Amino acid sequence: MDRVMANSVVTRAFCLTTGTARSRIHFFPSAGTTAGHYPVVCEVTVFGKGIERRSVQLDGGRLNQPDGIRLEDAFPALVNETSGICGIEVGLSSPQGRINLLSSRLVVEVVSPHYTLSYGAARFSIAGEKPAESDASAVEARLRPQPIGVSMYDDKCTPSLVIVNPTKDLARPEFRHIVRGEEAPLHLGTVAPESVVEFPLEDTLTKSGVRRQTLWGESIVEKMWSEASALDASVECYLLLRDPETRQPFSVCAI
Amino acid sequence: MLENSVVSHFWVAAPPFCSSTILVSSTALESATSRILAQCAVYDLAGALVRDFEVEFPANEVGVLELEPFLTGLKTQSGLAHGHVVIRSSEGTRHFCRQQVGEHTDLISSPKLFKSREMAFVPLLLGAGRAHLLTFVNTDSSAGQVVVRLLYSNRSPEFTIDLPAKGSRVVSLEDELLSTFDDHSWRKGVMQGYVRISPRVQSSVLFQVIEQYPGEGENQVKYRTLLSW
Repeated sequence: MDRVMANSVVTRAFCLTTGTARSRIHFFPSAGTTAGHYPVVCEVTVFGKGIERRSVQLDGGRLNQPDGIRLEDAFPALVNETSGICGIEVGLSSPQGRINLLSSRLVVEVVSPHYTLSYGAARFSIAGEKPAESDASAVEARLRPQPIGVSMYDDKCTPSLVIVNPTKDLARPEFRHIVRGEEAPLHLGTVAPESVVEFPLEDTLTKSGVRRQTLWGESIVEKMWSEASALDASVECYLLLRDPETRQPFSVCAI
Repeated sequence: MLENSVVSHFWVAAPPFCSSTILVSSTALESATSRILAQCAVYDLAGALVRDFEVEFPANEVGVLELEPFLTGLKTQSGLAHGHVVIRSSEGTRHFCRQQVGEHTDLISSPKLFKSREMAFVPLLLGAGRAHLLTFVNTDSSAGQVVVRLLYSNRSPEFTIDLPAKGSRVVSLEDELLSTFDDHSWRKGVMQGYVRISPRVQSSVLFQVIEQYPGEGENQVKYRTLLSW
């Protein structure tokens, strides 16, 4: 079996853009147990509804050396261009062909006068074109874990599903959940090419979910899942928790 | 013992500082009446087994396991009773932890275990009344060490922390580590920094950072989980 080259990797996440919120991204190029400070190039791309897709390349990165940028410094036009949610794609690559960057990490931080949100992005995967199905090792290396999540609604949190679609195709996220003991499709919408959509789950949960008493009060907790093959490997799914009263986000979990 | 099981480790602390609930989710139903078995073990900070138990729940529901009643035997370190929980359930399930630290609630997916010489990082802001608790769990059955390197400005002090087998440690970055370093420039203003950790020997470690920051009122402090890998 041919060895899959993983010296060029990519992950996708999102940030919240409002008049007062500012975003930073922090990346850590890592090659598992490989020591040394080989050069690593980082390319950051932003996209979203009403946002022109654009990229910046950050030179000077080194393996095992964390670094970060303010998104508004890298993309000054972002401040005036959008209000809502935008997609981020971060690619890391090393000219050293034998370095496997799959264990690299990305942290997204959103800071506003009212809240601070930081979360770990989905794991990096191999960048580049979709491999041929005959190339079993490359296909296996690109397999995503099956998205399995929990949506949780109580007096402290209300959940949303955030779908990041960096592709040029329309994405139709096919999630399933349980309604009255039976498996049923979770009705979400579509996600336009190169955009990010937040699907609030509060209505679905309060209509069909079972209320239960917990130590923190009355709560609805429901599972949801998708077949790994039902989503393009480039499409990332995140659970976002907001405060039900202020609607401020406080937790994000990649699923 | 469950075969082909999914195993997760979570750092836990006792109330009032922290409240943890394990959530076990799964995929499609095999049948409407099928059930999922989850095996749990709670270890104290020294690595001693405090409790082990099994719970079963209908497969069409999320298994909700409130840990508070099972954490009463945890030992205390610097006023904080903590340890870790190991949860094991069948293939096709996934574990989450609803963790409330202070007023801040977080949903944590099964954390990654960093093995010998692998590295983890967490960005943080130094100064401006912030303080950070670094929490470590050694999931291995032999004692281990973890190397903590703080990178800020052009400084990069390094510290080594011992971890008992299956035990946990909570370390104050500012009071226990940085106070022993000869540079105190981080106290002035606000400074971006990174904590980079790397387990030594054959340890398998999970890592979480909790930030303490000033609240609205005088002398009020708040806590939040900064990041959990």
